[in-house]
Amino acid sequence: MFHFLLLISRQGKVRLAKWLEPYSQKERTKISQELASLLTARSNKMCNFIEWRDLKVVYKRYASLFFVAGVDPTDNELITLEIIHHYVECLDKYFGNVCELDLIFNFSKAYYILDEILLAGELEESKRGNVLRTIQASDSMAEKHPEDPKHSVRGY
Amino acid sequence: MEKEAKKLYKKTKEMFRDAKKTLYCKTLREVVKEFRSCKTTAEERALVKKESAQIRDLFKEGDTAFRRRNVAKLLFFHMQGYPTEFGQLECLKLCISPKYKDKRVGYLGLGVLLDENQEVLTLVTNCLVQDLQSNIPLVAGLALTAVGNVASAELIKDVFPLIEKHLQGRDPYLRKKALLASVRICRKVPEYNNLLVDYMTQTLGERSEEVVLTGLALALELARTSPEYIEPLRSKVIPPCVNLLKELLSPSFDPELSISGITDPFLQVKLLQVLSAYGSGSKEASNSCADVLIKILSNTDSSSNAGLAVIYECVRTVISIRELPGTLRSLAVETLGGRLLNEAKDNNARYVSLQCLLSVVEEKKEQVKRYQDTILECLSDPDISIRRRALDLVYALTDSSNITQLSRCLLEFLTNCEDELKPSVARKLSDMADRYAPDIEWHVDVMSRTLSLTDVLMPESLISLFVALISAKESVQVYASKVLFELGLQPYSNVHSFDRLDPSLYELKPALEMVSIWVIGEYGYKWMTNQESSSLSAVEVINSLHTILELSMRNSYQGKKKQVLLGGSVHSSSCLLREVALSCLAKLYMRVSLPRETQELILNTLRTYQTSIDLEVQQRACEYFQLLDERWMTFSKQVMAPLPPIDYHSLRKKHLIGSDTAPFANPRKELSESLVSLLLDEEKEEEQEPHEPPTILLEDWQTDPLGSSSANQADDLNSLLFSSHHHHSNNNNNNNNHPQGKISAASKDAIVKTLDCGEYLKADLYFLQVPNPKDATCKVEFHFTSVVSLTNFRFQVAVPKYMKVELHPASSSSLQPGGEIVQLVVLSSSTPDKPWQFKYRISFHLSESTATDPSITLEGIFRDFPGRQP
Repeated sequence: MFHFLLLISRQGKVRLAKWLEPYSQKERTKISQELASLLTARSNKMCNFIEWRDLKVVYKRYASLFFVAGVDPTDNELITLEIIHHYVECLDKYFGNVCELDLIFNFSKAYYILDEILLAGELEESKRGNVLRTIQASDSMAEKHPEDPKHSVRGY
Repeated sequence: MEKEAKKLYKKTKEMFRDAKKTLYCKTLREVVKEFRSCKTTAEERALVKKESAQIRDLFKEGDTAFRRRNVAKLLFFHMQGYPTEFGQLECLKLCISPKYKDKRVGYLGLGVLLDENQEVLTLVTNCLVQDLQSNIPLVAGLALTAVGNVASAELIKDVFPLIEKHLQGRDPYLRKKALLASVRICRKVPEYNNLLVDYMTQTLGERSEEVVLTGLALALELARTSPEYIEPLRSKVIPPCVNLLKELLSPSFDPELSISGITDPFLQVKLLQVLSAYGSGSKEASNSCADVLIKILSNTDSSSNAGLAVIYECVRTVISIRELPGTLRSLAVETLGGRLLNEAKDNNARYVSLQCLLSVVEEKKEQVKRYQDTILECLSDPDISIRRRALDLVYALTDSSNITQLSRCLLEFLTNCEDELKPSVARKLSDMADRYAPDIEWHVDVMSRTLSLTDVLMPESLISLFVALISAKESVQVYASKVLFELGLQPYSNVHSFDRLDPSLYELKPALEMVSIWVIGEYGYKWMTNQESSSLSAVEVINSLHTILELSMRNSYQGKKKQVLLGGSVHSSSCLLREVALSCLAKLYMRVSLPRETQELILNTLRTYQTSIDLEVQQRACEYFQLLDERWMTFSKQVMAPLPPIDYHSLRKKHLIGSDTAPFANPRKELSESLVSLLLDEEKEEEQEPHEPPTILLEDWQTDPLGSSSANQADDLNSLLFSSHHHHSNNNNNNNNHPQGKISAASKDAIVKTLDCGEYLKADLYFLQVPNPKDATCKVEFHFTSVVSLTNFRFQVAVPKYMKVELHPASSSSLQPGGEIVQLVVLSSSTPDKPWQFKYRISFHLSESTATDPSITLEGIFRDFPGRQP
């Protein structure tokens, strides 16, 4: 199972963090920093796994972003990579050529998509179409309830 | 009139300003933009502080218009590592809101800002109960997601009937979410497992792919949390899984699900995992899945990551089901070694294959040996993850047929591996040599070279084991002195001026030097006195000792703070080195009949150090100088008599028990290990203490954790000088006479407790002496280890009036990750009936922190004395 999934930029900034085990805020910050420095030091040719504390960290770099998953050491590392890729493809389809900036300004959307892919640390949906349909339905439902017009400025 | 108007004007203006402040609330986009334009962390912090203050004000006012926007901002701040606790309640308010837009953000905040340990979570129960019953699927979906990601055991108990409803539902969207929420229920409340079993089996025949996938996840979790269900469920689970796998292998499956030519790898992997969990232990079950496993192994295309993932999982399944026929298991190993390790040039495939080979190496050693060359090649891979796996595999592959080749490879590996790995490699080499060494000379050879390559990073227990090995086998002592002389002393034997010294020799290797000098001192005389042509010349030894002494003086006073020996500071370790060197000179003087001028040389050196500014070195020099005087010859012959052999096997046994508490061992394992020893030691302690071997091991003075404390060193000296004497006269007293010299040896048998030191530090308390009615003193050795590097370490202890505390100096004031600070505390009580306790304060600076104030102070009270009521 996934213990956490982090999106970390090459500068070490956290772009998205999903914690599925109770880590304190302090630990969260520390883990992100620690992993960021570990991963940026690794070259492209090296394998995508590191043994870290008592977990296995599976990561993959897409452009300037590291997708970092902390999984059980007995998990299948290769399929974890495939799940990460699945998530990236969903993001890509939703945003249309997703880039880091999309995720920075619309991180909540990235969270919604992730919630349709991972639940309780397990893969929930392997069909990209289903994920996107759900998110689109959710988006349009959110729009259906227009609020007080005075405050309905773009987005939030 | 005018005055009043002015007043009114002022008042309206103020009101207007206030209104503007609350009315205008930046959008999330604006805040993110501003945050990104900050150039320093100080600016960022100021921005977050300002924004948080405004958000908090709005929350306090009960504002609803901007609540959603503000919670979203908090999510952003939280991600950047800023405190956002004050927003938790607002998340709940959003969840309760009837608007879906609000709910979505509220539940998102719930999943991100909260975790199962937050008290606030109990307040969400009602909201969850309502939403789980909602007839809008998306709303119920949000609630199910929340249950699956953050629900605590209590919360689960409150909402379980509603989850059950969704488990029986028709909508696959809600059913899959409910199934995964049940995975969490398994983990948190295993009592419900019997209720979940039926829902799980119902999913296996479903047409909807996501329901099957999530149902399998539940099946796996059930098997993990209650293994007793495996047996009765096997016949219900295995057949549908095998059928589905067969179906997946046929090409007519849904194209949306295939990834680079592999049909739904996610489902295939899950199915294989379930086969492995439910299939082992039954001949029948394993027979039914053998066919499909062979098919997957031979037909899956390994050119993509998805394909490799499936093959890898299949191999793991085959390996875990022991009942499968031998040919299939051999095919699995062949796939691992051939297709994954050799052919796939992908490093990921290599990694998983090395890892997996390790799990079969016991059973299929000969077959795995075929891939030995590739495995050895992986030892020099630039990637540490691969090297680690290869290292373990090489170690597991070793037997008496390939020990010489593999140990050569490991020694080669040691020459350029990172320090982090060195202790574990040394441990492996020592163990391999122990088990398979062709002869004792070879054993000594390998260990000396390991010592020379790892030096201070060699675990202490291995060093003493090595010394014990030489001490126990008389036949190898001459050979060992030769080897160690060549490695440790010879490079220094012909140095006439330091300017022309090879720069690489400037840095001494303290551990190697110390062992070599000790062995030469103890056994060198045998080599010198034997009449062979190649006998050792005493002058050469004395010359190199002289050089080493000089160098160690230079290094310790030139502030070369690089090497830290065995928890001590540079200074104390080079002091130790000088002491050993002096002892060696004295022993040679006594045991070898040297010509007059060589004897003079020794006496001269001793004379030089009689004025050393190190108290301990000076004392030794003075005492030896006196002992070597003609007047005391009869007495000193006895003092300098050779040590009796050390019992190698008992030491090795002890080492094997204690080897898991190495600095790089898994921290959690270490903890449980120490807990186990805590339980065991209660009985063990009494019988082991008196059996302390009467001889003095090298370990005892090398590992001296309080090198700088002079009282302690005097003890060491006594023990070194008089150990053999004691051996003749008084065996039992030995232990009491050198209480501190024995610390490290004793600590392995001591009762261990841990001290609460926050996240950075871990402190183990070794109770060397436990308070009892007869003796109202207690000696505690504190071992501090840390995951970060820190400086200015300070440990203080305060006790109630009826107790006394004696705090010995700490071994160091800075700590590297994996290092250790050791400090001895002696507590005594005038009224032993009163409760034993002490207050402690630990302060240190984080050396690699980005925070403005890196200093940390921890305080607490410790009452948990062993053998006493708290």
